[in-house]
This record gives sequence, C-alpha cells and structure tokens, in this order.
Amino acid sequence: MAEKTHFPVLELKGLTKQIKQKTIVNNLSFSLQQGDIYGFLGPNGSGKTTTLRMITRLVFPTSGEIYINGHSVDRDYRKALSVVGSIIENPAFYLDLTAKQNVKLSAELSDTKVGSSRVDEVLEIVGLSDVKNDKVKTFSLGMKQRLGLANALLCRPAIIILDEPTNGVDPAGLREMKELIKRLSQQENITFLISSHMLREMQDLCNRVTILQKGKLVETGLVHELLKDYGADNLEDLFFACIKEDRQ
Amino acid sequence: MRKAGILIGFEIKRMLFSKTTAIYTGIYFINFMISAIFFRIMGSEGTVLTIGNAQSFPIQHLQASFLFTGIFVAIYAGQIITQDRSQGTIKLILTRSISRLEYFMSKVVCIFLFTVFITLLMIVLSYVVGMLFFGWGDVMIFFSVKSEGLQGILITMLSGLAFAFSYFAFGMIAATVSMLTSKVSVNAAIMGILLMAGQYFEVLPSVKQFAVFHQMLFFHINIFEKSFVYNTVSFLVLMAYSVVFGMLGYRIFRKKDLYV
Repeated sequence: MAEKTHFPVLELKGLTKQIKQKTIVNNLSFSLQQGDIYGFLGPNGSGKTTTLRMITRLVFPTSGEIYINGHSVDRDYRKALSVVGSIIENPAFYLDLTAKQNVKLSAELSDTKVGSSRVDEVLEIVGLSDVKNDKVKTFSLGMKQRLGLANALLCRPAIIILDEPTNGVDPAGLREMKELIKRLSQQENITFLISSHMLREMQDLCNRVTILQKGKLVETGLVHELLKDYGADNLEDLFFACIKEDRQ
Repeated sequence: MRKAGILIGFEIKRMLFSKTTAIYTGIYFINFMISAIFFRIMGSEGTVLTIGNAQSFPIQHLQASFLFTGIFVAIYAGQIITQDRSQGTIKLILTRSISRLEYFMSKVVCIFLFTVFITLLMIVLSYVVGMLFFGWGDVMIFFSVKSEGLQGILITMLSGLAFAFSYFAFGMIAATVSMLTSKVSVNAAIMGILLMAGQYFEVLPSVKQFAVFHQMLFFHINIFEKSFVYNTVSFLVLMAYSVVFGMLGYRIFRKKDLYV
C-alpha cells in the first residue's frame, strides 16, 4: 500500500512550458490528494500530455515547480520519480523482448527492490500471465496498455499517471481496467491521474477532474460538486460548459 | 552507476544477438575472402596484402576496412542514441528515476565496447579466412614489424586496440550528431560524407595529425612506425575528440525535451 504522507501526492506550482514563442502550458497550478482518481481533461492541444511529460521529467518546464510526495522533480528527481508509475502517450516496450523480460528490465532499473515474484504478480494483476513469455511485438495495442499498467504498478507507486490508457482496449478490457483502477485506488491507496477524451468512462471512474484549455487551468474539483455548480447532468455537459465558458 | 551497468549489459546482449551484427560478420567475411582470392590470383600488386599468411592477414586488413568500419560505427552510435527515442523506449528507462548522465554514459561505454567488438570480430574472421587460404605461415610482417606466434597475435591485438580507439572517437562524433537527428539513416549519411571528405586532410601535412580521419587510417600503424612523442600527441588528439564530443553530446541530451 502507498505510504501516507503529509504532502499532496502531486503538486504543480505555476508550471509553464514555452516552445519558441508558443505557450503550451500556462502557469498551471493544482494538487492531487492521496487515493483519489483524477480525470485530466481537455481538448486536443490543451497541454495535457506536455504536462504529464513534465511531471515525469521527459520534458523540462520553462518555469514553475513540480513536487511529488514533497520532493521536487527538478532538484530531487530520484526520490520524486521513485513513487511514480506512468504510461505517457503510448506504452513503449522493447518489441523483441517478452512481456516478462520488459517488466524485469524495468524492475532492475528501479530504485525500489523488486523481486521476480512481484514481476509475475503485476502481470497476473493485469491478466497477462498466460502471455508473459510472448514477445511484445505479437501484442495488440490493448495488451500493450495492460503491460504498461503492469509496469506502472511494479514499484508499488503512490501515483500512477495514465495518458489515454483506454486507447485500443476492447469493451471487456475497458471494464476490467476501470475495475482494476478503482480497486487499486481503494485497496492500495494509489492516486491516479488519468488523461482521456472518453468522458463517459471518466465519469464512471474519477471522483475529481481537472480541465485544461489552451494550456490554462479552466476548472478543477470534485466531480459531483462541479456537476452541481454547473447544473450539468454528466461530465460531458460539464466539460463543454467549462470549455464554452472559457472561450467566451 | 549500477543502473548504467544494467543498461550496458542489456545493450551488449542485444548487440551480440542482433541481425545487424550477423550482417556485418557476413560483409567482413566476404570482403576478406575477396581479398584472399585476389592475392592468390594477382599477388600483392592486386590487394592490400603484402604477404599471404594467416598471422599477417588481420593486421593488414584493419586499414582497408576504414570505410566499412566507419559506417558500421556511425550506424551503431546513431542506433543506440536515436532508437530509444524513435521507438519511445527511452520512457521505459528514464521514468525509472535513472539520471540522464547514467543513461548517456551507458551509451558511451556501449559505443566503446562496440568498436572493440567489431575490431575483434574482424581480427578473428581474418584469421579464419587467412588459415583457409594460406595457412598460418612462418612470420608476421606488418610494415617494419616482424614477429611470429603468440607475440604476433599480441601485436595484432595491440594494433586492433589502437584501431578501435580511433573509431571510438569517431563514434562519439556520430553520437553527438545523432542527438540532433531523429533518424539513423540521416546520421549514417552525415557520418559517411564526413568520412569521405575527411580523407582529404591527408593532403594537409601540418594539420592531418589532428584530424580524426587520419588517426582512423594510421594510428594503429603509427604506434609501431612513429616516435613515442608523435604517438602521444595522436593519443591526446583522439582523447580530445572523445571528451569534447562526449561533453557536447551530454550537454545537448541533459536538457533535451523528449516528446516520446
């Protein structure tokens, strides 16, 4: 189970990313609490993936700070990233290695001690035990997503960042993934930050949302409170109300 | 640096069992066979060989493999730098709280090990081809060096090490170029052009010792033919290339945004 901390699991302070003259993420600030499932929403090009890349240190912010469990991603990235599991954009693996070999490599590179039994355990959790010795090049996108989730779970993280995790997942797999995320959030106290365009699925899954547009924070809060505030019936209506309001 | 060690082990295993290595082996083997056949037909006039025996065969072929080896090193350096980015697998590694320095250093060590490996591969293959065509022979002759037996093998290995070192310096240039390109083919093309153009430094006697291309062609010969001072300068030139391009490559990579 993820360790209880006094800090927000993730805290963004004035995060900005500029590429040449274009501002991709603009002074973004929000924080995530332990055990919640956050929907990270926004139209294409709103800066979601760039933000997730900055959190995982693949992209460097122009200004601003990111803290994970109180550790600065910039100054103390080892401690900060040691409690993060992630799938950014697409799950990427060495195609000529088996599922187990990929996760094992990832385990060897982690700061946390991860035994061989944990590798098998996470593959079991995501339902890939039967194909763990198959090469990843034979996997469908849905299977790769599940393998990505197994990899994210490996080091018993405090936070898991999933960027479009339902891409290529069939309806049965989608239901399983949603149940798994809910179970992990409740039982293991793992915080999830999930970026997706599938608003109906996100409404089922998330208790909080953060909505971005053109790199700026438009709205953040508990889903049921925001629905009430906006007089919306569902997350889709809420999303479009926020986007429309911001456009006006 | 524990994680760098894991990455090096992983990369070396992939290199040893890759299709590319099998292709390089085939290319060298055919190249040495052609050389041996031509020597049989035309003698030393028609080939790079001055003497036809297995113990002299490898050391005589090092310089002749300049272009092939240069391209292979450029491709390898480009591959291990750009492939992780183009296939997105760099995420798998860097999101595991591994430092960019550890990651970069693992690539540098891999490039060095590759140059040593490919040189050893050439030497072993040419011993095999030499034995097949000529037999071991009585004496190893290479420029002014005459030797035989185990000593001849050690001299060949020493020359091979010098050869590998000069290609490592070239590999560091290729690694730095590949930080700025996203395609292995573009990197290999740039390095191929540099290789061909670099040979023209030979017409400039006052500066040629400071050109990496000159060292790639002659360092493994000069260690036997030139003075200690001359070779020390050559060694320092190659060190300077390796360090400067290594630092430059890391400087680019350290703050590079990875949109993978």
